[in-house]
Amino acid sequence: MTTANPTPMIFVDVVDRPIEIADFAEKLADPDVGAHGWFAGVTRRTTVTENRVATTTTLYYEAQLKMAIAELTRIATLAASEHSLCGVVIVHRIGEVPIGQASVLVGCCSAHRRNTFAALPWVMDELKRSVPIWKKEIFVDGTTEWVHPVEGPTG
Amino acid sequence: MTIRVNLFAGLREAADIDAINIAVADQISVADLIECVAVQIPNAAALVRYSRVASDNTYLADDQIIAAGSCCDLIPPVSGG
Repeated sequence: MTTANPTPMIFVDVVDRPIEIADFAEKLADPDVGAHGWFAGVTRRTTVTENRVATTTTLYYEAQLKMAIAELTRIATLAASEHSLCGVVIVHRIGEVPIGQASVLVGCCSAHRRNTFAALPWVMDELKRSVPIWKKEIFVDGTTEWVHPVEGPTG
Repeated sequence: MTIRVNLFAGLREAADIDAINIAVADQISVADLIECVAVQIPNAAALVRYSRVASDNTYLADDQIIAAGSCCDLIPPVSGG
C-alpha cells in the first residue's frame, strides 16, 4: 500500500557547473519516507555502434533553458503523482561536461522502495523524450557531432 | 508578415543562423510551417521534418495554428541525459 504525498517536494534545475549528489541529498530528507534513490547519468568516452567505435574527448550540452525547466517540472510533477513519490529532484548540466562527470542527476524518495525503483527509469525515459537539451560530441579526431536521435531516445 | 523560428543545436549549425523568418499571409499550421523551414534549410531538411514546434515553452500539435507576427522554437530531436 502506497500513498502519494499530497504536496510532494519538487526541485528541478539546469546548471553550468559540476553536479554533486551531496549538494542535493538534503532535498529528499523526509521522516516519512523509507527509500531514497539516485541516478546519475555520466558522460561516456566510448560509443560502440554497428558501424564504428567512436572515442569522445568531451561533450557539450545546450538547452532551450526556459522550456527545459518547464518540461523538467512537468516530468517531476507527473512522476510524483504516477509513482506516489514524496520528493523528486532533477538537475541537468549544460555547457562542457568532461568525460566521467554527471550530466544529469535524478533523485526520488517514497514511502516504499518499489515506487522509487520504478520512478527513476521512468523519469529518465521522459527526460530523453521531451526535454529540449542537446549534446554535442567532440571526438578524439577533432570532428564534432550534434546528437539528434531520430529513432527515439538512446541509452 | 512573418513568423520568427528559433533554431537550436544541429539545426542552428546547419543553417548557420540563430533564427529564420518565414513569410505567411496571416496564419499557418505547425505542419506547414515545418515544411516551409525545411525548404529554407535544404541541407538539414530531413532533421527539420523530425523536429517539433514549441511556443511559450510548450510543444504544439501538427494541426495547431500559428499567427503571423509570432515567434516559436523548432526543437530538433533531443539528446539530454
